[in-house]
Amino acid sequence: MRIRTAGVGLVSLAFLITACGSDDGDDGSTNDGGGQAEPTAPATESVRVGALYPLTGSAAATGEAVLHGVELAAEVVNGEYPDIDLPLAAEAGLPGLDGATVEIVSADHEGNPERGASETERLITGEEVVAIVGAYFSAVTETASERAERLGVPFVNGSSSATSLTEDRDLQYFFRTGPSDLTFGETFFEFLADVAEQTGQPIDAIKILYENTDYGTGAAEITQQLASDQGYEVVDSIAHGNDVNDVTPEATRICSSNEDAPVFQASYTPEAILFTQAFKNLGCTPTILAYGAGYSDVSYFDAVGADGEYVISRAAWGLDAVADNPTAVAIAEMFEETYGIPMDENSARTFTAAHTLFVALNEAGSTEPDAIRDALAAIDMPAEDTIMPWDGIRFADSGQNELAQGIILQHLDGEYRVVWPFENATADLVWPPVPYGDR
Amino acid sequence: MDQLPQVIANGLLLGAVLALVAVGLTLIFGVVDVVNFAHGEFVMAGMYAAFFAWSLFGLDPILAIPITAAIVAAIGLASYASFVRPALRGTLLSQIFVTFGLLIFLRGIAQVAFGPNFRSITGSVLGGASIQFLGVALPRPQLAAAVGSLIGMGLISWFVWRTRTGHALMATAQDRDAAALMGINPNRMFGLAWIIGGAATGLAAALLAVYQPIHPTAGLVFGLTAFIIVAMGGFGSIAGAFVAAMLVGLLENVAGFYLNPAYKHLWVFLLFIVVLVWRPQGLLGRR
Repeated sequence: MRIRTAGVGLVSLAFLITACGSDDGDDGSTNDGGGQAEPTAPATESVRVGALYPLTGSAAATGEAVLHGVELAAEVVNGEYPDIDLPLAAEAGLPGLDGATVEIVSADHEGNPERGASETERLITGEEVVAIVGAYFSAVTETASERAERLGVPFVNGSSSATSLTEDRDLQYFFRTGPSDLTFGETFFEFLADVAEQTGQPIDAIKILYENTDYGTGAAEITQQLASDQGYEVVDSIAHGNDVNDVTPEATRICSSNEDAPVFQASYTPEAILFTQAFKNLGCTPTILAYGAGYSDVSYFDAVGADGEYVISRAAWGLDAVADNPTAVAIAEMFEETYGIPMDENSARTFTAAHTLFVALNEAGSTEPDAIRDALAAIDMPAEDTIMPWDGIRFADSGQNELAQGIILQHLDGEYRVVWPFENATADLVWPPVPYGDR
Repeated sequence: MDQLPQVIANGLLLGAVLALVAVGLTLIFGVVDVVNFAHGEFVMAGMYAAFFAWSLFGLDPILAIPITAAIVAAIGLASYASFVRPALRGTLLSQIFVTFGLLIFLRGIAQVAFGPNFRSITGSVLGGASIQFLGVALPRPQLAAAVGSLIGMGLISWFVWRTRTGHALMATAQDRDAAALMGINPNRMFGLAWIIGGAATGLAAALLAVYQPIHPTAGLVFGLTAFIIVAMGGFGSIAGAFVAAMLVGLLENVAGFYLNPAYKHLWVFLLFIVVLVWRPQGLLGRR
């Protein structure tokens, strides 16, 4: 009888723990009135903004990091940081809303598109947020933003790159500050053409390796399209699943022919780790051209160590690329000091999405979703008002920031360095990569 | 065709590892007649045990095997004694829910205690190199896992078929009441099954931890694969689990390489359905 009671007690405790683990009304509001600087006036109001990210599940580490990007943006806006040259940093709160502060309400979609949609609904109807930023996984951003559209609430996305989010839909309330994979794909092919010219060795064949949800299949389609437009042969195009424990057949396929053909890869962190190990085991070192995601993740590099060197990734941001922008450097340092992890292109993009939203909120001078939406549509932020190496932020009718750009980074000596455009490079490209066995 | 030896080698290595993961599950079902839905989480727990043995005490996973085996065996016994044993008196449905609840419990605890980040063991003596054998690359971690798996299964088979206690275990699996009439305490045999099943799983987990990323949801895919293997091989049959695991490993790699890798699991599931339709008790199952 006692054991049974203990058992029931333990099971109930377990359910409580798991419920607390994935419910975030409580641990979301990290930025309540005033921030860390002394408030000039008592914060009378706070505006609630939802942040929807994968806080549990296999992408949880990335989810936490990108959530920190949003939280930092709120902190910068809420507090007084006169030394940071970003809009809304100097004053406390949002002047256009009488000094109201931003309160971030985080929610966990667990990597599940249906859950993303239901959490969006809960944030809007239950938590009464006026806008939402999210959701990292393109597949979840798709469903979540559709739900937000139906409820008439703006959804600002910084970190999902699937082109279909803006090209194939006609949403009025969806805005993406970061580049789409179409932009990134074009960046890659310009890069390849430059590399062929610089090395004097023609590149005419490529391979594609991609995860099988929105992000990967979208990236693969774009790569396929651009490749055929520009006369490259696609030797092999391989889809793989997520959360699998073995990628040996896929890796063996990649390694079985055309070793020189660069591999365009769109994978999340666990599979990136497994592939690197598999390639090394098979004794081949393909040139990886990554569409970010797993290869942008610090935990990938922690796991593979020296085997992560020479990976080439498209990026929307690199600390290197903004090294001559003191504001960007200051923000990156503040991020690392506050959260103990370096800022990467994922958290930089979500910071920017959130910050852009707050600027629009301020411009709108109202918490009405339609007013915020109109302010977002009209936004025209110059490059200096952001921490990104772009031309600025201005949304086309599709909701895509048409001034976003990609750069090419290569992981050298333990960090990502800008290697292209060659004029802006801070390090020399290593092409082809040094074989694993020689490192 | 020149890749065929490599592909087959990959398949055999994968199969051997999956076999060890599945053998614990099949043993528990065979003896206790309970499907342990939390099996994948047992693997995850063992992997974390191996990780902490490495990161806190510098123990290579190979050396940590006794520790992980003991820990997962303890978890198995504790699960049996506290949750499963009372549920045995209830309906089949309640037994299912108990182990399913255990799945959620273990996953939640891991999330809270260890956080969602990926851990990896780097710098194992086995790590990241391949042995070249007859033109085929055999990655050392997977090779060690396969060898460990064969040894583990050999030990279990020896125990089950060559010792008195093992015979008692099999007798309980065959007919619980008749065994009880012969003086075999079924409760003790059930506990023993959970211990051995847990130990086998702990061994597999230590070997897997050398090259797999470790995180709270790592158990999901192992659990699912283990179920398919156990069902296909026959619930309760160790040899069946081995054969089925080999088939799964080979099929995944061969179909994955020569056909579209995106569908590599499709063929496994198709085989699974075909086997169950043709022979519902599994390839080597008894009932």
